[in-house]
Amino acid sequence: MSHDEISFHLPPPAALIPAPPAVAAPVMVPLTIDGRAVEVPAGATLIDACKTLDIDVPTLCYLETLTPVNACRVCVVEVEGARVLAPACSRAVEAGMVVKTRSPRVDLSRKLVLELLGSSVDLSTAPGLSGMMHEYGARPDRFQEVLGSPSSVSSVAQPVKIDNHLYVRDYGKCVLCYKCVEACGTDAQNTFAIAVAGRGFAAHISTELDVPLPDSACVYCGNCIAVCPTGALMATPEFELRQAGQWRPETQAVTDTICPYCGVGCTLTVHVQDQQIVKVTSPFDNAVTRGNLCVKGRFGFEYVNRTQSD
Amino acid sequence: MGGGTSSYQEIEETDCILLWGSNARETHPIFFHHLLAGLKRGAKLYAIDPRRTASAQWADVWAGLDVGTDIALSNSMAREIISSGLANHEFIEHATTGFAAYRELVEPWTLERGEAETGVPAAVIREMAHTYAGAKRAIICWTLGITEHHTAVHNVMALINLALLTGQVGRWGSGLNPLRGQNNVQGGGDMGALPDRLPGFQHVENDEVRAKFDRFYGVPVPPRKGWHLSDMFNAMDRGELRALYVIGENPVQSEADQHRATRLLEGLELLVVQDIFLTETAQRADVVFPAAAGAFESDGTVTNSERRVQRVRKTLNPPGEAREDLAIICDLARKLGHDWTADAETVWNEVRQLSPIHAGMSYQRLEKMSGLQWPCYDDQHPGEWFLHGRLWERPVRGPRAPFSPVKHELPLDELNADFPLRLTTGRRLAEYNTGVQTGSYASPTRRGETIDVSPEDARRLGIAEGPPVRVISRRGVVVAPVHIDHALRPGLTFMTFHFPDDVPTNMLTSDATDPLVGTAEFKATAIRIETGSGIGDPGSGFSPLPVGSRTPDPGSSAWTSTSSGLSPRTWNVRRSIACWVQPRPVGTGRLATLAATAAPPLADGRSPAIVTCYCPPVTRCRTQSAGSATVPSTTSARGWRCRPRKPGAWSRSTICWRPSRVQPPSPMSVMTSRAA
Repeated sequence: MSHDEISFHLPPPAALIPAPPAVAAPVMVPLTIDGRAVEVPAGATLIDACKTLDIDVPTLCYLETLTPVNACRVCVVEVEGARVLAPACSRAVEAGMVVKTRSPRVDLSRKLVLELLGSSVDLSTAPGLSGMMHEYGARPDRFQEVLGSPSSVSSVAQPVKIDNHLYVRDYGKCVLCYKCVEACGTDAQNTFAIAVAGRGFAAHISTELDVPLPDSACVYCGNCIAVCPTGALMATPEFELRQAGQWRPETQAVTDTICPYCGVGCTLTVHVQDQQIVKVTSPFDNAVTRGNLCVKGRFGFEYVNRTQSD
Repeated sequence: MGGGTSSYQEIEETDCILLWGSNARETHPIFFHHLLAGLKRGAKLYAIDPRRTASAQWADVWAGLDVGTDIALSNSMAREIISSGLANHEFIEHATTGFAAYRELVEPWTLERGEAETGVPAAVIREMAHTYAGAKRAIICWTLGITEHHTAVHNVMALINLALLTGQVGRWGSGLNPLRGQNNVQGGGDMGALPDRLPGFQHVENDEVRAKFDRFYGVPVPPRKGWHLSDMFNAMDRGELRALYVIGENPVQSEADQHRATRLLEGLELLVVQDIFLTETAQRADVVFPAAAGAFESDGTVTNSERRVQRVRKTLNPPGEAREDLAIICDLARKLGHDWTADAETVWNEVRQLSPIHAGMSYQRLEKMSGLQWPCYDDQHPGEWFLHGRLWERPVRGPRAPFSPVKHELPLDELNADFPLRLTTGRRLAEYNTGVQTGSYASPTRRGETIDVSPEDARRLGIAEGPPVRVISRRGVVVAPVHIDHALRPGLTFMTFHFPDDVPTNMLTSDATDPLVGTAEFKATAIRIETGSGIGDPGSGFSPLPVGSRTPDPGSSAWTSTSSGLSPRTWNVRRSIACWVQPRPVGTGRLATLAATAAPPLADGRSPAIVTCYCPPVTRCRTQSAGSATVPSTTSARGWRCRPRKPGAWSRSTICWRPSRVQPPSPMSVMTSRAA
């Protein structure tokens, strides 16, 4: 069978390089942000427009790869003529919009949101949060001053849930951004192991009937950990190193490689501390993974980690 | 050129997906994310699988065919497409050959006959045929459910025929895609780790191609194709293959007929093993080179299922004396008088000079563009989203695509009264192959090996979830706990091969192979299940044999006749289909040149052959601590000097964590038959 014409010679290169079908050029929508004119494709959001102008809009619950849920309200901006502030992450651009990303009203709103979150949630492992707090002058402890004692301030503090060997859930750090629910659901994994249960202050991320993870539908892909903005979901190695006071991100070497398992070819971003792999992520802008991995890619690296005997 | 024709992006934009013999939801989870995006966009999914898998649960229609009836189903679909006037005659006339013979072959395959042979209702076959042929864009994806049969090549051809019949190939969103099981199976093929290919799928018997390599390396490339794994094993039997250099493969444990494998490997005059674990094979080697782990401890490239060449980067220093494969090979070359020094990029640039389809992939571009899809002919070429676009050009550029009429054949391991159940094998989500890599992490979903049976069979056999039973095939017996799986139809059973130390599933599997490529028929084994008290207990009258022992079943005369009646037994190529052999003193490229000088001439003056197995360094490893590792003597019995090793520097202890909901019986071992 090897000598038929088709396998004996390499096929000639195609005359036209195969490519996706051409799509019609998008309709461009003009608008003004912070006094600067910009044109973006119809259907883009305000945050997309801000990005093209390099205007930084703070976000918590937003991620490029997920459907916006408008939960955190940190990204709100002022749209001229609108009654209320608009979440930049989901509000679609309209022709002629005039947008202010910083104004006393916007800043006050962001400050209050951050203070409410900070007063009730442990944000100690949320990267970038302290910078945000500082920038908006947020003082989460001022409610304590008003109410008299820390115990009178409502808090979601609770013991860390450790019910498996791969990752922990510290819902005392959860800001209910819904990202994990989205990643577990239709935006990526489609496993639907978790959802938001309860209402109001009792709202919380829950497995079905609040069962422990091993009894739930969880398949341990860890795509929820990847999107968690506060460290409420954390892989066990990181959690244990933090507990021991040995988590040192500044000393970690971060390298991209390709997963050693199946043939899909997922990019693994490997975080190495003291010659041990301590964390694996994947870039959100990677065409193969879009930041998602499976249980093997995210957790199946122990075979190269040294044991005591090595 | 062998590779999936489409890109992952295309499955998001196609209209019809036939997922054939693939449980991608569990075995290629991130590919399945792309597929789910396609479903969300409105694509129809047909899951063609004997089991109602986790993937099938997402399908519009699950076509639960009988194991090994893929060609019957395909031919039946083809007949329906032709007779309903849905064949793309314009494409067939324009770009294909051999349609008349194909039409004649499929003509008898009416829907009714298809239903009778495959077990898939005629209405379902009809619907699949109509949807696939009528879709604007349609993709077929398959995995080992297609290829792990003695009709592996024919099964693939049957799927290709469907695409040619309907013109569902060579266009955006239409194609044929084998989902690769290992991270560099595709790359192995790319690099010529095939018996008849040089790097870039260039045929070794093509004089023009060979001349190019001759000039480049300054040595004549042997003009004939080499052996695939089955051939190699037979050559060992004949004494023609006497030296073996095994890189990242463990034939002693992955071989279906372990007795024969072990005997032949031990009979070699030289066995060199390069691996990240001290495998069973490595323990029998004259020389062992401890190697660095591919994905984390060395630099290079791998190719994925969408032909994307991507960079692997070193993130960890290898432990102890372990070194990168390339460094070992270069060192060996230097010892043999060839001054080789190379880093991964230099070798890659060598590939680019010789393989036209890789020519444009500099490390710089691979870095910048997160990998490139071959073919990529020059520095400006963006890589190609899909293959075979040439078939749509007018006139067709290059040769037309041939239909390959293929006949339906049932699996060789026949069902009968003694072996009434069909056993098929596969992977689970959290596990990988024989568990060497995955055994080291604490997967909460790990439940150990089980024999999965349908509720109907369980009821009929009077067995319940949990307690162990004897699983008996014509080749061996294992003991495994029962798991009742509602995804199985009556008559169908399932096992994985993830826990070979507990349950050596491949003691059961068929050693029948595809005569064309040597792929073994792991997907179709005839078994029976026996129950009884005390199964699995040491004192139950079933004395354990060492793993690898074969257990004749005195209750069945089929045993003796089967073992000789099947196709030649071959090396288990289950997880290492990419293999290259050069039975020549002067070989192709570096390794073979090296081989020529590495191995001394044999007593009769002939030169030994050398074999290289390129596949990920995934091998079976015994759970062993540093202290218990055997240190081989520094000089082997045959006078070859072994690389001195410290056990501590070499072992990678695997932490086996098995919080199983189903406790495997202990000890799990191969049992002798009652008579023995």
